[in-house]
Amino acid sequence: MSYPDPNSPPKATDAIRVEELYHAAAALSTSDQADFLLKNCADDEALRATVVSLLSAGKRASEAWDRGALEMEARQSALDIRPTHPGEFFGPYRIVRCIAAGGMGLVYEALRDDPEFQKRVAIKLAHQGLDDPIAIERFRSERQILAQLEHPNIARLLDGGTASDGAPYLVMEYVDGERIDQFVKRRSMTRGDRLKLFLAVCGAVQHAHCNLVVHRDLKPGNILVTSDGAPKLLDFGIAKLLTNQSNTGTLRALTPEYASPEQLLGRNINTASDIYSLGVLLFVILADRLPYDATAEQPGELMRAILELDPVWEPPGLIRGDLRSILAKALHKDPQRRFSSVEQLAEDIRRYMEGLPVLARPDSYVYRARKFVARRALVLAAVAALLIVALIGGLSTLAQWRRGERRFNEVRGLARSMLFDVYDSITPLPGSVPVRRTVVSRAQQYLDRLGADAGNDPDLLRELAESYLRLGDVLGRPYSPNLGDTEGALGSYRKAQALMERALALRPGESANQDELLQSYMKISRILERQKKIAEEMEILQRAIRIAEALRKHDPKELIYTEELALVTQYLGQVQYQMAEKEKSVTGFQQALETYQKALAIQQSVGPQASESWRRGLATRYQYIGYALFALGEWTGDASHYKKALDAVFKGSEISRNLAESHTRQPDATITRVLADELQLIGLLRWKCCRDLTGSLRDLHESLQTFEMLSAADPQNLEGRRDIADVHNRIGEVLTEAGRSREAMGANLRALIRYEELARVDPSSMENASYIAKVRSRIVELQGHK
Amino acid sequence: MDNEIPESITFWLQQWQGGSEEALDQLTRLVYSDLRRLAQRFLAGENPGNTLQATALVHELYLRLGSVREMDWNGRRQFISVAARMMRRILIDHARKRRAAKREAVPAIAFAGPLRTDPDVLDVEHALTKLADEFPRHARVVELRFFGGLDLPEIARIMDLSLRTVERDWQFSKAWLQNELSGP
Repeated sequence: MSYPDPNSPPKATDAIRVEELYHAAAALSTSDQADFLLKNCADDEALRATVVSLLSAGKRASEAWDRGALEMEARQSALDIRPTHPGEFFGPYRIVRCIAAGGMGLVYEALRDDPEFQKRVAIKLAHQGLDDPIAIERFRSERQILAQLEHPNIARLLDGGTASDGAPYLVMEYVDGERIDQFVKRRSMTRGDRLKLFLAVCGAVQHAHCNLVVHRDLKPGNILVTSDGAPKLLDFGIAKLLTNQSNTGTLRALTPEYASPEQLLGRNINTASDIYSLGVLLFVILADRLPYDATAEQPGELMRAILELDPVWEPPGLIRGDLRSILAKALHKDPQRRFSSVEQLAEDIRRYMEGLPVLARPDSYVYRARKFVARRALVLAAVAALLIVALIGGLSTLAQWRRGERRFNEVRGLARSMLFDVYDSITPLPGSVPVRRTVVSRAQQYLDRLGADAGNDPDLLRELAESYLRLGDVLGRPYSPNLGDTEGALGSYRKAQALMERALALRPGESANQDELLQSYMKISRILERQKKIAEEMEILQRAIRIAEALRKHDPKELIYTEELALVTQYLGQVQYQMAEKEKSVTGFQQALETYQKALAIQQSVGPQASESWRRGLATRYQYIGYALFALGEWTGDASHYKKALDAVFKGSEISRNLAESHTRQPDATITRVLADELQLIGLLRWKCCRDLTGSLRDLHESLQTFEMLSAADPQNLEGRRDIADVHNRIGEVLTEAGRSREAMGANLRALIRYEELARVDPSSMENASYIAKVRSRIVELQGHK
Repeated sequence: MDNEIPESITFWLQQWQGGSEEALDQLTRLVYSDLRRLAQRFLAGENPGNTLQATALVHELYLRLGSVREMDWNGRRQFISVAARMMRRILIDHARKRRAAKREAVPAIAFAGPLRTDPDVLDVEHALTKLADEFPRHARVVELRFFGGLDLPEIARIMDLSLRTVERDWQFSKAWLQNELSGP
């Protein structure tokens, strides 16, 4: 009772006084409160008692008040729906008491009474019953998968079943421990010890991931530390099991503070989501606070923090340097930018603890990995091997599961993870080609199967199309590192195209989908270009231009659409150029030149832009104008074209040089390649326009050296080898024309050997064939001179 | 998530804006049933344990009513207050029914553990009416916070108070209610 005499409640003035005293006292320390109240209520013992009682109640007030009535009521009704009470049996387990009531269901402590031994277990009982036989079958098979998770830091799933009313229950190892966040805090553990504890957690999560089990609800409440200091993870995969999700459905966040952005958005959840939650956990363990300023009580703020804002690095100075890089990578909003596996996260923490440089460098990891590939080859190889074993191992199990239930989302995540994470992580390794092929062909199988089941969900169709585009890139995207399978790449791009056409038919007019279709057209056109299928390419490009124009018209402020339009226009110019070559038509080259100039004009129409891709595009536009003018020079014999060509290429190369300079700390392979390409053309033009043989050979050799350097850094890349062949070809051409027969022969032979090698790897490329013919005829000509 | 909002809610909102007396009655009836549907779904465990939804039902309703956003500030704040009040009624009804059903169930449930510390919604309701006698403003804060799920800055805006005042009110009210609940 709040007041001494309930029959005469204090008057309004008393109420005000109570509140004033309460606030004044609450601001004081407990020891000062007594003195303060004695002094201020000397004449009114009842008043003093009231305030003391309020202060004590204020301390007791549970957080339930802030969670609100709705949740309070939900919890209460959860208890009432299922009036299970001590003594009741679940199979051989006898309920001792209810430990907790949560969103998913109730948790009981129970005992298995065996004559030999008494085993203490925790039983989780779902709110809802399973109503159809398929769901029950699914529950059973999922349960078996979870039961196979055997790891010292994972609480075992021992048994399970369905209660009399059909509600599923699970029997788990009973863990007597303390929440990990409270444990480290209470013991005032050192940072090193906290990290060690976290590493043990990572080991457990990694083990589960290797078995294709994603936790989905990692948080301190699910990680208990036992008295011997070992963490135990509870509820692996249980979230999915107990909430009766359909296969393709996604599970919304159970614990928003620890949920990843994709989880909040109800998107596909995979291992990357667990890595995010681990990031939040690590942050909490180290800083005793969440990486956000918001809490679950401010849902809007929390959502925004998780979806949009950077982590709040507080208290200041506590998390900095490499540790911050690691956390930033784990907490990246984009799942693909996070660590690609828990093992990588753990490895980085170990490196941090040993004082070694960590791999996490926000957004520049790939470069570093490339740069230090030699030194790290062993470590990376070990990581990659682990990943491969884990994935391939997981896959055979997957095949077994297929009959019972298709684990659509896991397969979906897996295919993507293989194509993006695994592939990227092993690409820098020397000799990884066979493994890469295996990974890719697996991913392909999964995509094909997913494609067959994709149904009519436009978002899923787009996701699959994205994966097919990526698969195509990996297999054989021209002018970038690939496995040299042009036909396979074309097939993948075509599948992406078909998927996007389906998606657009379902939801017409959506810019993102149109853009994705445009991407597939553009990629297909690159392959057709390589295969010299001119008519087909022309047809695809015209469709691409229509889409690009529509996109640009629809959203003129979106620079990317202008860039894309300029690019496809340039592609069109390239086809016209090829047709002109085939038909030996000067007007054809003139037409190609005009198209290239149109592409440049499109891009210039939006004025100068600072973005790198824009500047790169601009440099390329100039380069192609240079090519067309060069061809006109060749075909008309009018040397003024060469001069104009040289002007254009100089303009392009100036832009490229500026770009390269902004990358001095971390040389950018793509820009370096463009520069070498431009230098090659400049070298050639120096000879053509001004007969400057010395200058020409100087530039061509410099270009060759650059290409050789790039190729040495990335020996698996066929494009790099093609570049080298091309420069030899150009040098051969200049020397042949200059009448330096002996040197010319050498250069032409070098070009020939390289082109033939490329043709062996990728027989479908018509480009190789046409170069080989050209170089051969030059060699024959030179032999005739002898 | 079903998005169908009865056309008439929009209609009555406009009427309310236009100053119609009847509108508030009609609106109350319609919004109440919509809100109740949302709450029932939550309470039946269809959105298990999602704290975001637990505290945001009123907001959800609010957001689903597109035309609310076009209302002027006064209308909006009335609307949110009304929604929070309705939420209170819905939850109290639910708790009453639950309690009635429980009386019919045979044995009393003796749970150990942390569950006991959670207050019961009906007890809170009882204490809250008492609080309102002495501290009417505080009781409104509690209604918006505890039943309406609004956060303190929002409450400050709706009640046109400083955040500091709302924070103090809430802190004091929690202590007061807790004290009332743990009485003999």
